[in-house]
Amino acid sequence: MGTDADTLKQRARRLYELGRLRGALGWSIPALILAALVALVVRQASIPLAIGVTLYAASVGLLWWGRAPGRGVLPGLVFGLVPLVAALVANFLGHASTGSSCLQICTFACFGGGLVAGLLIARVAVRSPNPLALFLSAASVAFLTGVIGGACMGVYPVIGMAVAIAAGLLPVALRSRLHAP
Amino acid sequence: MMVRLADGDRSAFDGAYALLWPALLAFCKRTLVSSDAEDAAQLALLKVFDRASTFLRGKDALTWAITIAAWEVRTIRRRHSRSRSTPIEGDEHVSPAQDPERIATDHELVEAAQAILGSLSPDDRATLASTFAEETPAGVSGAAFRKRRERAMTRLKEAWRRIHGN
Repeated sequence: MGTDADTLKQRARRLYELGRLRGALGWSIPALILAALVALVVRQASIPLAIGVTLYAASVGLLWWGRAPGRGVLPGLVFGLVPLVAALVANFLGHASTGSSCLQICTFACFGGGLVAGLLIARVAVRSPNPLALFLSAASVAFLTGVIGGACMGVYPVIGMAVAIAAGLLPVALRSRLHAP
Repeated sequence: MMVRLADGDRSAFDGAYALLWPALLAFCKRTLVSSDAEDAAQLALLKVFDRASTFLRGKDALTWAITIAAWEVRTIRRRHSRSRSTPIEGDEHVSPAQDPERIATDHELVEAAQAILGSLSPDDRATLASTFAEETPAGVSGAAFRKRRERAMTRLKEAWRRIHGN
């Protein structure tokens, strides 16, 4: 094996990136499983699976990149279960009623779930050395996780969820401002 | 540095490479002949970076890398021992004992073992010799000997790590 030093270094770097990608592909599989479960629960495959694939791709990219964005994937996925469950519950309760009351219940549930997720993510983010990057990464993952359950309810609940999760940015920004030199 | 690399900090790559390559090469050169040592060190280095993202915080990076290198050394040795054990027709006059590669490897191993044993105290050496001979010295109870043996083995492992791990 007469590989010179530069080639060996390049191969090592390539294997390092491939190793990270392999790990990211494996660790992101729960996103697909979650989407499949939701598809089974709501008896609608297309939207949950399409968003599940998007979530999987986002998770792979963030985990491969690593650092603060990579560390945000797990809290995002875990806390994203709050708006997801809220949306699923509202989906069943809301469709028992009709018209504007259904929309109100769904929007309120998605907003409430999103707010809880956003605040929990903010709590984790402010303890990190790079709170903004971690919050943005975790919030994106949490939003996509929540949307798996909420997308079939329409645009307003999804917008409500996004706004509520983004509200978690306030404590992160305040904390960053307080700790700024 | 490996923790940073596992976290995705690419700026730690050059530093980790610069530290690991000479350490792995030196380790492999102590146990294999030069050409095999370079092969083993390269394979170990590539595996270390391939698995870098799974490196756990709190582990000793050098010990982890050396463990991977030790497996590569073992694999190469096994490959050689398998190829030696296969009889080659028409090569019956060559004695395995006269194989220069084997003689060199054996010599290096004996030297390494002597160096490590030499760094131990006479008591530890005697305890290890008795262990090797599967006998308990006269006047020493079984429990006391087991304790002595355990301590001698710990010091032997520490000496091995000190000499071959750095």
